[in-house]
Amino acid sequence: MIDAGTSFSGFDARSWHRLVSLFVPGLASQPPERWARRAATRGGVLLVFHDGVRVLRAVHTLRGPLAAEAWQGPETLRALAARTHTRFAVALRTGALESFFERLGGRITAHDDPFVTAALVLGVARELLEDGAAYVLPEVPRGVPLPPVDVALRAWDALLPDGRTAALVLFEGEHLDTALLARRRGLCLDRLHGPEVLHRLVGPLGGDFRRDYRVIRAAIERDLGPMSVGVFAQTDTFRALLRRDDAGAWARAVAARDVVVDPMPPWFAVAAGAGAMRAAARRSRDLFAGVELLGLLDPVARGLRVLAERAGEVDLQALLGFDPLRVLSALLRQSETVPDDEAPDDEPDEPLHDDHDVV
Amino acid sequence: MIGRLRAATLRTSTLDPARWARALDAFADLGFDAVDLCAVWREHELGPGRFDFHAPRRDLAAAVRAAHAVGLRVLLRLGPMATPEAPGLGLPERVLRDASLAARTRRNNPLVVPDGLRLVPLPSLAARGFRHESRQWIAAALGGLGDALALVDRVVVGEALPLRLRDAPGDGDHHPDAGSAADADAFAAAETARVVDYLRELAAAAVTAGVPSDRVAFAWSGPVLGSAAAATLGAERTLVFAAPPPRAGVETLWREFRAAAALGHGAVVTLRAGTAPIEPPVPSSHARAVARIALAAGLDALSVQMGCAGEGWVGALLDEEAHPRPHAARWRELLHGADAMPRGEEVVVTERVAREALEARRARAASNPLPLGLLSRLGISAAELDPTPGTDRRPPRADAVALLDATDLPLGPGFVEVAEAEAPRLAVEPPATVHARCVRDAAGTTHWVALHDHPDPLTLTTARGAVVRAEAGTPVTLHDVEVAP
Repeated sequence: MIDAGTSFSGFDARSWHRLVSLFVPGLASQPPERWARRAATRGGVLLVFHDGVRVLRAVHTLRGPLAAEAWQGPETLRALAARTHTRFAVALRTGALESFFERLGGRITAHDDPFVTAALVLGVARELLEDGAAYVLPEVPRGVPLPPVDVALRAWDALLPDGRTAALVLFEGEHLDTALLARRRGLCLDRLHGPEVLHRLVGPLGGDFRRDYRVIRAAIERDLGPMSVGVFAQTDTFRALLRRDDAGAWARAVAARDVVVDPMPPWFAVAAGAGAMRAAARRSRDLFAGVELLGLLDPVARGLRVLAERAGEVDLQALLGFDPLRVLSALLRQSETVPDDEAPDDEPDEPLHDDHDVV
Repeated sequence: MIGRLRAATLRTSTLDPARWARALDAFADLGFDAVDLCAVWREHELGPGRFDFHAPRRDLAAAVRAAHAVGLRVLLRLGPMATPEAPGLGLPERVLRDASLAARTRRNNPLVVPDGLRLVPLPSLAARGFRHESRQWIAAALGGLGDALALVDRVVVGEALPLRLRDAPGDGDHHPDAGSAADADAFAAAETARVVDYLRELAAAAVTAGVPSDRVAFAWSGPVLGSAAAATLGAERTLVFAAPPPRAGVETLWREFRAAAALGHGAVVTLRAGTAPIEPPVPSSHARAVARIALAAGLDALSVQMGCAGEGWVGALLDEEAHPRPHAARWRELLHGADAMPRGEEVVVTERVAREALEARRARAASNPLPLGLLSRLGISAAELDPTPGTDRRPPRADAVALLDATDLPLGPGFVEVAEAEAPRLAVEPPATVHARCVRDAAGTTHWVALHDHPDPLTLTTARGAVVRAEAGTPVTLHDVEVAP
C-alpha cells in the first residue's frame, strides 16, 4: 500500500513497463500504429451498456462496436463474450456507475486508510452485482465473503512485516532486467525503488543471479534494512511460473534453483506448494514405513524436502479464504493480451523526417 | 499565438534544489528552449491565506531565474489542480475536506474520485466558495514570484481534473450553486458553461495580479476533439492540453492534434516521457511515436512531461540525479527533426460540427459521458459510444485530402479552407485511410505531411508526380515538385 509519503524512484519507462506487464499484461502499452490491427489481437474487454430492456451500446476494447439489441440478462453478456472470444466482460445498467459513486460517497470518510477504502469499494461493487445492476465475466461466486479488514491486515503483516523489505530482482540473461524493492513502514510502503537504485546500491554484478543474489541482498539490507523476502530469477522463468496452475511448480523451481528465494519466509514455502509436497511425502512414508521415498540421491528431491520443512504455520489461504498465487495464476492465464515486443529504448528509432521525399 | 515552443517539465518540489541547475543545463543541451514549472497549491499553503514561496523546494522565483539564466523560457502552471500526479488533487487538505466546496451527487453525497489508493471528494467548479479560494490561490502564487514574474513567458491556469466515470445523462455535479437543468441537453450545456466560466475567472485573476493578458493560457485536461468547451476556450487563449496515450491509435491522435493546431490561439501539447506510478506504463518508444505524430500534425508548441521529476515519476528524460537517461538522446533527435517540417499556410477541407451539436451528442451518448481520456486509454474512440453508429472513423480512399475536424468557430491564423472539389490531393495506392496535412510555402510550393496505420506500406503520389513509400505509423513528407522523367 502506498500513500503520499511513499518515496518512488529508480525506474525508467522500460523497466517499469516490464515489471507491470508481468502482473497485469492487459496494461501493456501499444504503439499507435497497432490500433488498426487490434481486431486480430487476443484478449481485451467487452463493455455492454443497457437499460434493462435494450442494449444501448456494446463495445469491445479491441474489436470496436458490436451489434446487439435486446438485453435479456446475463445470458446476453455471455453470448456476446462467446461471440468475440472474450473472457473479461462487464455489463452496466444505466445508472449503475452513478449508484456506485453515490454509495461510495455516502460511506467514505476522511480518515479511511487504503485497506478500509479497498474494502468499501469491493463491498459496493458486490452490492451492484447482487442487485443485478452490473454483471462481470468471469462470474464472481456468490456468497463468498470478502475478507474483513482485520484479516486483510493480518495477511499484510504476514506478507511483509513492518520495517521489512521485499525484493523482486529479475534478469534477462546476464543483465538486470527489472526489479522492485519495497520497504514497509507502518501500514504503507515508504520506499519503492527500481533497478536504477539497485544498480547504485550494488554496483557491477557478475551476471549469474544464483551467485549475485547474496551481494544484492547484502546491499539492500545495508541501505533499506532487513529483508523478509527476496526473489531472484530470469524474467521468463518468473513470468511462466506466475501462470502455472500445478501445485508445487514454484517449489520445484526453487529446488532446482531456477528461482532463488532468499530470505524465504514461511508463507512462501506454503504458497509454493511445499505443503502439498510434505503431505504427499508423509502419506508415502505411512504407506512404506521406514522407506524415504523422497530420493536420497536426487538433488531436486533433497531440495524439495528442505523446502517442505521450512513451511511453517502461516498459511495465507487459510487466512484469506483463497490462495493468492492460484488466483493470480488463473487471472494471468485468462489474460491473453500479448505484450508488444518493443525495441529497447537504446535502439535507434526511425528518423522523424526522411529525406526520401522524391523518388 | 504562442509560436514555437520546446519545453520540458521540471518538478521543483520533488527534485533536490542542488540539481535544478544541472537539470536546466541538460534541457538546453537536449534542444529544449523552455522549462515547464508548476506551482502546486498543496505544497505552498501553510494555512488559510498563508503561503511559503521561499523554502528551498518551494522557491519558484529561484527556479524561474535559474531557467532565465540558461536562456530558457518559462511556462508556469498554477492550477489550482496544476498537475495530475500531485497527491490530494494538488489541493490543501482543508479545501479537499470542506464539505461546502465538494461536488455533490443527486442525493447530496460528495462525488469521490481516485487519489492514489484513496478516494477524495472532487471540488465543485460551481461552488462559489471553491471559485473564491481558487482565485485567491492564483493571486498568492503570482505575488510570491515577486520580480521573477516578469521572466515568465506564459502563465497557465486551469484544470488537471482526474478522470471520472459516469454513465447517466444527469450524473454530474448537483452542488446547490450549480442550479438545476430541465433535461440532459440543458445539463450538458450548463456543465460546459460552468467549466468555461471557471477558467475565465482564473485567467482574470491572473491578469489582475499583473500578468499581461496575452501571456495567460488555459490548461485543459480532457480531449480537444469533440469538446465544445475546448473549442470555446481555444478561441480565447492558448490551450495547454495533454496528448492521448499511444494505444488511442494513429487516427485518434492525428485528429486530436489537428483540431488543437487549428484553434484560434494555438495550442501546447503535453507529451509524456514516462508516467506516474499509478498510471499504466508507457515505454519511451511509444511516447516518442506519439510525439512524432503531434509534430507531423503541425503542433509546434510542446512540453515533455517529465523532463526531470526527482521522485514519484517513472521514465523522465533525466533521472533523479538530473543525468540524461539513454532515451533522452532520442528526444533530441526528434526535436531536431521537427524543425525541418514544412512551413507555410495550411490548405484544409473542414468537417464542421457545431458546438451545440457536440454537446447534444455528449448528452445523449449511451454512456454519457465516460471520460474520453479513459476511453482512449482502452483504445476506444469517442464516437464508438455515440448512438449514431459509424460516424467516427474515416473510410479508405484512393486519394487523400487534408481533412480537418472543426467546430462553428473560425480557424486559427495560417489556415485556408477550400472545398473538397478544389483541394490538393494525394494519390493513395492501394486505397487506404491516409491522414494528411497540406502546406503551401511562401513560394507557392505545396508540401505534404502524411501518416497512416494500414498494415502494408502505401505509395503516395502528388499531383506533379513526387512519390514516397510510407510505412505504418511513420510520418513522411512530400514536396510537390516536378519530377524529371
